[in-house]
Amino acid sequence: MKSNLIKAAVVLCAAVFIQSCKPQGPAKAISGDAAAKAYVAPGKYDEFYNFVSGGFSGQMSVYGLPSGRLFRVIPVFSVDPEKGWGYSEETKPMLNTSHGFVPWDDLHHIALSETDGIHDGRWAFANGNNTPRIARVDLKTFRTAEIIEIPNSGGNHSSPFITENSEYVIAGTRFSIPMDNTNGDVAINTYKENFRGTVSFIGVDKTTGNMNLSFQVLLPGVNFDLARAGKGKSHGWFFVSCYNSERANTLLEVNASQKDKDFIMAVNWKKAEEYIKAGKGEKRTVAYAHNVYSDKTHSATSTMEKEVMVLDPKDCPDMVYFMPCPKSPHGCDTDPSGEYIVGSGKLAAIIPVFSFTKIQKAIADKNYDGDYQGIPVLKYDAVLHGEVKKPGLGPLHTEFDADGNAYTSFFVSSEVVKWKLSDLTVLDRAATFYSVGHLCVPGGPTKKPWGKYLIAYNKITKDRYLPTGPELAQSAQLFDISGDKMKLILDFPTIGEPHYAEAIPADLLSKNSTKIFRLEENTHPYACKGEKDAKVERKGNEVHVYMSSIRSHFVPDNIEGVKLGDVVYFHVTNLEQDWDVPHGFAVKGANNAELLIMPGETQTLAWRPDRTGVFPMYCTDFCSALHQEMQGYIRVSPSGSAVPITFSTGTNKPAAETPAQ
Amino acid sequence: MMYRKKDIVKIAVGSPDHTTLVAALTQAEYVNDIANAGPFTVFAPTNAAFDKLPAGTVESLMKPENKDKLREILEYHVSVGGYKQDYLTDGQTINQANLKNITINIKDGKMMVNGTVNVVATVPASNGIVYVIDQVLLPPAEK
Repeated sequence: MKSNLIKAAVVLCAAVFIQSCKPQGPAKAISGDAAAKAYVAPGKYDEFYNFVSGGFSGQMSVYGLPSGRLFRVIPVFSVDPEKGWGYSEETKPMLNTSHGFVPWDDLHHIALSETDGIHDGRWAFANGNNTPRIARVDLKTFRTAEIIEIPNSGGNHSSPFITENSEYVIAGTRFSIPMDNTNGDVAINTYKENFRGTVSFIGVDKTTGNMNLSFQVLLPGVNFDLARAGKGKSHGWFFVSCYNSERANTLLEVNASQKDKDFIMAVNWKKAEEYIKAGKGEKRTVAYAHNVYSDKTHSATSTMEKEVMVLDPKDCPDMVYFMPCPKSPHGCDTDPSGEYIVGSGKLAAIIPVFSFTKIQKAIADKNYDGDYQGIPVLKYDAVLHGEVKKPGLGPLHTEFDADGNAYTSFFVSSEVVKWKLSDLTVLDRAATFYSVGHLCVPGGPTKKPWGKYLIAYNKITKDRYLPTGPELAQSAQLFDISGDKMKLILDFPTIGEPHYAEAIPADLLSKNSTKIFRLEENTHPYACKGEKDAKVERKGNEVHVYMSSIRSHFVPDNIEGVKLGDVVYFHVTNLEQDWDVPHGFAVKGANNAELLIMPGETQTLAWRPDRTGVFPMYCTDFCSALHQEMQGYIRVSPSGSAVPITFSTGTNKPAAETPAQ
Repeated sequence: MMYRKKDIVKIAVGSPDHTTLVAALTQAEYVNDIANAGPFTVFAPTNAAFDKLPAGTVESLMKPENKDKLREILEYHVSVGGYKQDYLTDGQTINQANLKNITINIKDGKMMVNGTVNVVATVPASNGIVYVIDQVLLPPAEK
């Protein structure tokens, strides 16, 4: 009777508890000085840039830390009419693929370039998950400089993880698929026979950053999820988490959750390089686009590549190993020393930590637990440093500080757990609101974490912000990790949807930021480098307007002689040579977008008038006190009209008024 | 905010037959977890199921020093995935949150677990599915 009473009391407590809907209580989670810690006074700068994936928006966003202020959304894989990205003639080739123009993708992960395992502040790489691609963003211009498509891939999720000298970024396929050079028209339930996975190694030029598809490793038909390069002692290796070792092709929710262990794959990429040199690679015919943007021609080129070198582990012993890892692992993170590899089985209730030293010993001793699809499986106990026991439910991803601590996110139990790498003890836990995904510690994936903050990127915000209809805000939560205990100091909404992010000290980038493009270096074929060079030329039914913009007028601003059926190309050069003076350009009825033109740059809008008349055009980017005067007209006459091409600024005065009838 | 269905915790709390389970989840500090997005499949033993355990078992598990043991047992009742019976087949194994497998048995449309445990009711939840069972599932011993 007594115990029933206790039970009833507990149930009552639980009910109250649940109805409040915020069990841990945000008020409780916030310490008194939180606001001061996240506060950056007006006019002051943040300490860190935070490069955050934009998930299904296809873009990358840039925030300041600790303020959480949004500085910029960098268009990467998705068109952005605000900036003309994917709409201007110059940027359209950046979104070209073997499937043609693809105006959208799903950007999940960020990798900042490194030298000697430390951020060097040159480039940010990002993956396109849907139509497999990797992009390189130039951290001088904060613009996308290059995009390379990945063949033999069905969803570039395990990407773009980077080696310690930016030798390679990798691209592991989430979906295994029939390979591009085979007949892919096969029954889907022949998965086990016909579907394979690949991990691609994209070489990065040390000086220019230019990417090339160096080689691919052909692998069993599992799903590759996340990865990290080795570093320090494990430099030369890559670790990649794999799920669906059941090789299911339907209802993965059930059928890929059968086994208690999947794998972390260890790839010796230095060995792979040797095999490539030794001619062990097989050239396969594929098709993939390689798009490069030039800051000199202010234009992109898209080249269709036709070959890829493929290494098959069956011809290349000692290159690839599997390590058992519970259970559908997501995160696969190498600590700053390179000794520990932390696996996070997203359905598990432990965190296994593998030892690089033990991995090497197990390989030397051939301490195998059989093989998986011909690839040796190392014995779990032989490669295990230890397990963090009962840390929480659903570990996803781990980042590190410089003091030997790891921070793991737990999706199911909605928390961040801080634990010690050496003895695997749990040191602290902090609630997140809610369903945390990736974490970011500034420099967390490098040999030298900058530490100080931890940001949790949450998948679900429930009641954290004012409601905005069925879709609620996407969110980041900032923790101060400078003390023993993590302290929540700020919530800030992000563009959707934040997956992985990196953060870098502001002074590594801010001093290098491009201010203008130099006009004399502009080699755009339609550049108009001075007002006297402005002109309008007809080539058949194309009308090319060589237009200049400077505060506060366009040259020309009156254009006549365009005929219905013409395509008008407005090639607008911004003649300004001062920082932060972009001009915009828009014309009525344009079916694409506006242009935003940086100082010294030329951009082109193609306009197909659909009716006769006179159409306004104007500057869309507030540039000066007389911005609202920065406008003009273009006249469109019927096809077959005899109106000649004329253009002017300042001379075409209003005709005398017609006397009243 | 209105939801079409209750979440798993609200279902358990609202059931007079599951007071022991709710008490156990509370003691294990798993209440918040299974109110989360999930989805989860929870095999929910009734009070009568807990009463079938040897005398004193529940009381012992509810002691603070046995919290890990309690968690282990509760995790064996949770799959991280929403598994409708339509998607399950006879003899199928499911790996539970404690990394141990259960086996699903389906005979003539009637579902059982591990050969002897009857599913006596099915309750869809906003964050998964609850199968009410008539015995407590006991994890297989460590190898």
